Amino acid sequence: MSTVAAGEEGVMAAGLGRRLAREVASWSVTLKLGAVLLALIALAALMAPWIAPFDPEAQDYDAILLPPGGVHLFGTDNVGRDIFSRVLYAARLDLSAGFALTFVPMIYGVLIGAYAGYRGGLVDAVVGGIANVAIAFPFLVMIVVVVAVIGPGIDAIYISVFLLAWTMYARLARADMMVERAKDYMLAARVLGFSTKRIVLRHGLPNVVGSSLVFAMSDFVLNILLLSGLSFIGLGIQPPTPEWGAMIAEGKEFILEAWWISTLPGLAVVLTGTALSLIGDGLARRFSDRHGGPA
Amino acid sequence: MTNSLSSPPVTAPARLAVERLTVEFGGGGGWRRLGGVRAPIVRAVDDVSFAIAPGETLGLVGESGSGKTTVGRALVGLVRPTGGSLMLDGQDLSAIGRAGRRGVPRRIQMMFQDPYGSLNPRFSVRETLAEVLRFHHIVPPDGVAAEVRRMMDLVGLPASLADRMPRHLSGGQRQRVGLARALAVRPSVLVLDEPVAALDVSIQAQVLNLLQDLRDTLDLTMLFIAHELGVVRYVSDKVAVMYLGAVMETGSAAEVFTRPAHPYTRSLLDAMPHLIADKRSRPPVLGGEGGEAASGCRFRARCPRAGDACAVAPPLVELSAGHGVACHFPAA
Repeated sequence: MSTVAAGEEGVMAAGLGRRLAREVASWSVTLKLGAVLLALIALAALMAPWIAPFDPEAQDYDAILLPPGGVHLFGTDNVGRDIFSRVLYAARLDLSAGFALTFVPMIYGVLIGAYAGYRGGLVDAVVGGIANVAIAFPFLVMIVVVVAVIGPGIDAIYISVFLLAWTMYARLARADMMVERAKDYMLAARVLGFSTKRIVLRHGLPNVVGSSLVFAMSDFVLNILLLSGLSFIGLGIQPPTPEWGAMIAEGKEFILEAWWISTLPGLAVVLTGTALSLIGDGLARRFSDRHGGPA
Repeated sequence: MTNSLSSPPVTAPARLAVERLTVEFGGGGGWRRLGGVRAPIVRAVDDVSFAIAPGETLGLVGESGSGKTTVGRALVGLVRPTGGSLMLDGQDLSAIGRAGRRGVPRRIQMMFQDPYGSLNPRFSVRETLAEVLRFHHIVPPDGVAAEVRRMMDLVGLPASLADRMPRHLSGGQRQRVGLARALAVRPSVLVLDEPVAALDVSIQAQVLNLLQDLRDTLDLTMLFIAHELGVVRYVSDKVAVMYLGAVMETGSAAEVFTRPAHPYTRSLLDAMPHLIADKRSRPPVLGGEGGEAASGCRFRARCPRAGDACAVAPPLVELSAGHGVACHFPAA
């Protein structure tokens, strides 16, 4: 018996590897391109301490407003900081903050929405009411209030986004779950006596998380833009910490004589946004293939 | 509240007895009343009674909207009855409560119609079956793999399909997996909701034969819900014909199919396609879609035999032993 079980486990492990290989092979060019691009950006961010030629906050008054090229690959700003190093370090902040701002609300948003959609009735009505209040609340008013209370910085952005951003995910998951719960396999799970927790988490959730995942990719882009935008107007990351939006803001006074200070961090934003959009697009196609298409 | 006429006598004590079952939808109870929302009440099942002896198969027949699926869903707890009782081996199912707790295998299981929707698209055959076995502790953990193979073998699925995902299975294979999943908890009663309606005719016969074999080997009691009379006739010992939520005629399959007493049953049988077309005796086709008559017999508006007496709803009365009919003018 034990040898059979061990043998089966081996088969299953091999099956997992094969499944993964087949999974990647089934990706569209869009999805592959986006994944590679994002992986490169993430790798650059991770390796920043080793790749960056200069300290991102070190000022060098002998090298002010140098154009791109030479030792300073992306040039320097008005206090002689190396733009390339700052862009690399900013990637760490922007990617990790964007990730948290996107996926933390996604987790509880999807859970709340899936549960409300499954239960319906009173639970759904209460969740729907709370979600509508959150949706009706203007985000900028929220962030200004939070900044007024705890001061500007990344924490204010986290609090505001965590309070409001879950609603989109809750709505997507709720709508999908309402369709899913009427399907026979969900009814079968109920007839088999499975607990509500098991039905929602194990049977329902994997089948309703797709649209949220696709939306999360565009939300990720929007959150990086939000972080950059808020930093640009001074409500987000404070100087001298490198952040793409803050860097764009710093360069705006020199845009005519030193275009690179604003443009190159902006390019990093665009590149990251493109990678995420490609992934989102590829994922959307991937999920529709799974559900509709033939084997 | 015993109505000796509505539950035909059975020789053995009933495994499953449905007494005056009523199911209503809508009405806007509870919190919805706060918003002033009040959906019209629809009585999907109206005072339905029947009993099934152990090892027996009851065919529940009717057109779509007749409430036959709702009866099945009430039995497995998917809809809550508004009235009446459901007895399993003499025990009230509502008293047993929501036996949804871990380790309490369900004694009534269900097989579904849609082979494409009845399996979780993300679980392989093995995962689908193993989950049920583990959740209800049907076998010890180290016996799950063997039990999965045994269940697959029981429903005629080759072991090589164990790691297939549902999208890589045919409709007939999916239905077999759905059947194995239902049987995994060792139920004594199986509710089959149009189990072969979505399958090719050749596959239908295979699945029906499998069901009959399993009924004999596992001593299953079955409620077979279908709209196709040919299929029902093939598998059922007894038949109940439903129309707009109520039982119109009930009796042994042989009796009902050879001597239909209710005009509705007769029109259903007449509507069955025959191998040799006989143009001279082409049956009258029922008109309309069966809107419920405001009062009296619910079949009145479409009935060729309707008379003044039909303004009063006819009770289900016994024509002969075990053959009940709800009609003022039953055919002799």
